[in-house]
Amino acid sequence: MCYNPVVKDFDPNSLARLATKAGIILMRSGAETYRVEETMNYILKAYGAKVTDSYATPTLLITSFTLDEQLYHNIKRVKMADVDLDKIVKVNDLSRLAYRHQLSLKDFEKELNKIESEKPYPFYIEILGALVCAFGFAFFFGGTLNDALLSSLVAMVIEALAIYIRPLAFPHFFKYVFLSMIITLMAIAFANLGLGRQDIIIISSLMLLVPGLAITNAIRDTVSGDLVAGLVRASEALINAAAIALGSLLVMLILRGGL
Amino acid sequence: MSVGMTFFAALGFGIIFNIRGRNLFFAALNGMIGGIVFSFVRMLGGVYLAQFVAALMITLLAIVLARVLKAPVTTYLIAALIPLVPGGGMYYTMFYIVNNNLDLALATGLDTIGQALSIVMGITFMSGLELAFNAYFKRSRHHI
Repeated sequence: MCYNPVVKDFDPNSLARLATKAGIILMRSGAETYRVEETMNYILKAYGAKVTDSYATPTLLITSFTLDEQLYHNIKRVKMADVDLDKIVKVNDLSRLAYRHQLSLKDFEKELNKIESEKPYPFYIEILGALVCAFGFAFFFGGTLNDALLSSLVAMVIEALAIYIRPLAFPHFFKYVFLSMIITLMAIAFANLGLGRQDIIIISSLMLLVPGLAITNAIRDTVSGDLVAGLVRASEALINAAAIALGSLLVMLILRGGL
Repeated sequence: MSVGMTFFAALGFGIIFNIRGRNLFFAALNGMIGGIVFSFVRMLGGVYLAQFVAALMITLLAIVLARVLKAPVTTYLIAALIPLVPGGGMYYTMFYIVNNNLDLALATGLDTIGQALSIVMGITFMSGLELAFNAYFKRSRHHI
């Protein structure tokens, strides 16, 4: 099936809306800034738009294009969401299809809605992921099998809690302070019972909270010249790291009677 | 044995970040290779060099995988990089602060920042090379 872009059977406003929608899905799922901007431009060009300009930061999308001598704009506020790398892969594939003129705008919208409503892995698989993750880290940091099993347990509890409080939309800072406090409490309890090493358990399960995506994207955005997005993400990474450290620090100080 | 364990660390992160199918396996594999490179260079030289070379290798592999398997670089990069993050250093810095051992806290803190910067250098260097490569061959980064 080949779609002919010369025959315009769509409303240009819906093209503007769909392009920004694809951008929002990408940005919320954790794509780099250049990918968001380029994908929006490619989608617009695929349906016959001229002079496309898109600007993206982690919190705002702006796009502007000309279609049939008419100028169209769209501005969207982006709210941060959870990382979902599979959505990035799928939107990327979809935009490639559209660019080869293999999709009408209606089909494009249908596919995009399908991608947007996709669910992450089911609850138990995500928990399993946390388990595997902490298990691997405990050995990497030089722990014994005992430490690895305890870290996995802590990580499972943390991941379950994180999934459970996700709908509450806590501010990230408090979420990370809270989760890191739970980790430290559990690890100190296990260590005092003589079951494993406190430092290994804490480090292995704290790694789950490390803002790895924000750090990586901050660097890649800065290298690409998207300095605003790079700064936003670097500050996000710093604040999250501070939250993790603060949660752990608070528990240790309280247990020590230092507060 | 502990060397190959970054495979599981990266695999777990891949699941949490919702990577699917064969991409998940390759992301985890990239994490394992990063861990092996890190441990190998760590035996020969300093920890900063090890972090730098490991980050360099992971980014390079992610770029190659992205081109071969036609998926975004991020998919293979992020889960593989996280095991390198000096979480241990962060923890010990804090631990020494709580214990009022400020000399050790400062030393560990600076060491941690140095390690983090080494990783940053590795990613920056390779991402910059990728940009230059694309510009030279006039390829778009999008339609890989």
